Amino acid sequence: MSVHIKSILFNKNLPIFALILTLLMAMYFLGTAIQSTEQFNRIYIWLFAATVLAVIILSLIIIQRIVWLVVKRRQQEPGIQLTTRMVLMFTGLSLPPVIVVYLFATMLVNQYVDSWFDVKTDQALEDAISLGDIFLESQTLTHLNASKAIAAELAEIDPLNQGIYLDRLLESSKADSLSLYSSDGQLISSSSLNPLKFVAPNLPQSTINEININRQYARVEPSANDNLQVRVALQISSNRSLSLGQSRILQALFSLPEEYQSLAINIETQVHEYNNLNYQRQQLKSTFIIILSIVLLISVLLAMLRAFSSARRLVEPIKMLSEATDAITQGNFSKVIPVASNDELGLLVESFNSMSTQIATSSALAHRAQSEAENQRAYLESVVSHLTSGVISIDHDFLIRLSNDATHKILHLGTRSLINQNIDYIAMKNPTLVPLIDLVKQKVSDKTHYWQQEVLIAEDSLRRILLVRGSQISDTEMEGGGHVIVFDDQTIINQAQRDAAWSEVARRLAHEVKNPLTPIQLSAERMHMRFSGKLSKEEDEILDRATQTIVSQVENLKTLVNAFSDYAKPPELRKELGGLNQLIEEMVDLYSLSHPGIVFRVQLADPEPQLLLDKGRMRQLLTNLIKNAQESVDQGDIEINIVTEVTKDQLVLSIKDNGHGFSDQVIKHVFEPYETTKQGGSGLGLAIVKKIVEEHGGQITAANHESGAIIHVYLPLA
Amino acid sequence: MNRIWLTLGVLVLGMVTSQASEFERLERDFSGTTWLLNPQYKVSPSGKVREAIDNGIVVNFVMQVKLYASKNWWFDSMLEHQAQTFAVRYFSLSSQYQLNNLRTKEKQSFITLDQLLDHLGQQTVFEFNANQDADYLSTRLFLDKQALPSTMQLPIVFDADWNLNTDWQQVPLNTGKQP
Repeated sequence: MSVHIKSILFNKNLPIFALILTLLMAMYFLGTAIQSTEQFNRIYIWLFAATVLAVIILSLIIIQRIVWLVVKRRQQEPGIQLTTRMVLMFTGLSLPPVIVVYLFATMLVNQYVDSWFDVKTDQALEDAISLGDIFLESQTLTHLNASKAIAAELAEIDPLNQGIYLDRLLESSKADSLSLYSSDGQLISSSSLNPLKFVAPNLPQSTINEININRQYARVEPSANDNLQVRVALQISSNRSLSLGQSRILQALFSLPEEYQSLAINIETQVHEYNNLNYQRQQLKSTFIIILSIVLLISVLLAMLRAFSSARRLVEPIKMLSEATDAITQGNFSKVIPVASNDELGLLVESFNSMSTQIATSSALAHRAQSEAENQRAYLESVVSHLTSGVISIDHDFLIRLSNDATHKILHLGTRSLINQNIDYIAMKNPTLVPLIDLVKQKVSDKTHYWQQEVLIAEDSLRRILLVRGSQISDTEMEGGGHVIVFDDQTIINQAQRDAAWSEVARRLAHEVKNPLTPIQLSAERMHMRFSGKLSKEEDEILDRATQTIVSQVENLKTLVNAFSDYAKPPELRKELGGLNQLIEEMVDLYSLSHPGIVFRVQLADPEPQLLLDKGRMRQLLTNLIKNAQESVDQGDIEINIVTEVTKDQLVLSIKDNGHGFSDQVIKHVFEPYETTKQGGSGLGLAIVKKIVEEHGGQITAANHESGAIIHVYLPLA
Repeated sequence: MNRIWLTLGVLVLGMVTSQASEFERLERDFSGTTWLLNPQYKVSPSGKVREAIDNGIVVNFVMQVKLYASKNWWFDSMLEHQAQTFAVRYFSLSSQYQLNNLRTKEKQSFITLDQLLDHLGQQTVFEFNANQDADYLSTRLFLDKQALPSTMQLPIVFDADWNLNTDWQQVPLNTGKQP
């Protein structure tokens, strides 16, 4: 219930309903008022009050609308400018004619009302009144004298008989009635010309008062039927036995002659009406101006209200169009504007709805196509990102448009995105890639359709070989065209191929060289046994030295061949779980005993990490590395540092010496067979070490430090 | 703007405070079954009213008397209501003022307007049947503006000179109960 009342009280159309109700009420008053003049007089003020109330309500509505307009203008609501202009235009258009009519009507009424009255008429009426006064005064005087004569006659009569004589005196006089009153106004006796309709006349107190002063009263006065009559009252001075307190008053009433009566009434009526109108002249003007002002106000306010209403009706579709346009701008195509009219605005709204529907359809299609393209792109990116080969796509301005994760790994770049970077950025990040970038730029500039080339990348101790393939993308295949470059790290493959070749060489060498060594050695020893002591002393010495040389060189060759054999065909690995610390300590102890001049500094990881390793091969690895370190020291004390430490998932074994280190030429190929810095070295030591490391799934690097070389071995933890 | 508010304020104040008619007393005569009640008023019209009467405008005065029986814890009940309307008119030819009681049709002429108004204020008698329940009466006198010509009604709406209305005056009758 309260909600219902609230909805009524706070209804925004409530003032309009109140206005309509008030105007209907005013119309009802008007309808009632025009039924008669008396009704009009009675209801007139209420009719005016209802109209004023309507003006007040209308003013409040307009004020509310103006406040609304100001607020909306501050909020810069769409269409508010147009509303303001329309309101001003309607008001401006309605004001001039209303004001002109107002001024004209006011002037006309003033002149017209004034024209009713003039000095001549005033004077004529005053003259008529004066004339009537003169006539009435003469009539009054005549009747006074006649009444005095009657009073004189009555004074001679005994007061007890005066009433009897009244009828007789009435007949001889022209009076309509004669009455006798006591001094205090009590009726004693009365006589009338028409006894059947006679009503005893009263003696007004004012008359008695005047008699007491002047002893007589004679005046013309309006009668009960609005005619004029002459009232004469006199005190009777009795000559008989009346005491002073018993004086009597004679009242005689005279009506005017018929012919004068109508004229007098006519003059009285005209003067009355003229004076009445003349007096109301100013009030009439004021009333007219007030009513005209009310009409003017109602007209202007209604025009303003109509302006607001029309503006709102006109602006509403425009506002909705604006809002719908904003919605479309923000991607909401579902907004449909209701068509409120069949005019041009309605047509515009219909066209807009049709357009938004078409946009929505097109947008849905575009969205679907875009989604499909995005899916394909995502699929392509996923595929490319999972490729082990590095892929780069560049445009003609050498801007990178696409790159995958493998690119970063193979080119040893950071994680920062390469997209939209110039290709020179890669060279800037990793200067060893300059040959690669130069090659790519050259091929792109030459517009080579398809090309393939190996590029050698030298990074400290690592020499990497990249197999680079490039293909040009034409403008027809992709807007603006471009180039796609695919590259693979061929180092391992090349290394494997090289290792395989070396193994084959070593195997053949061992096979071909090892076989004749034993007969050579045996032949040399038989020759020594056969001829020893049978030759001269000098020749015998030569034989001994030659035979010894042959045998020792053959032993050397055998050692060499065995080394080749080990490299070419290593024994089968027997990996088992264990630590490296014990092996290191064992090898250090062994070397310390056999080579007391070597100073070992050992720092081993604790707790000892566990690895899957072949202890025999590991011993060989450690032997080779310690031996290399020992042999790298040309002079002075030999100092070898052995450190193991655990990183995330690796054991890092570092062996550092204080020798001459690796030369720049050697360090690039230090792990390849036949690369050695020692005279008489086989060049297989570090190659075998590398092979053992790789057999255990690890990596090895070689580098120089301030005074010597350092080898890092990375082995995976178990 | 301030001047407009000031004018309006003065007008409203004038309407409220102006008292050109004044109740003086009540003459009563309780004789048998009839009560004769004679409210006494002093009527002093302004110059504008006098001018209007002298210029032929008929001015109506209404005198009202209501008999009430007071009640505890509830509104008092009105037992009877009487009103007498008097039309005051000036006759130019005879230079006399006429007082016309529209209820009794009784007409009286007076030489001066003051005499007429004295008569109106002092000699108007209301006759009621005796009612023992009545314990007080309310009376007032007012100038009936709505009986004036329509052209005059608007300009005098806020004119204090035309405000001859008295408030309702409550006068106890013969009972011990007070209103």
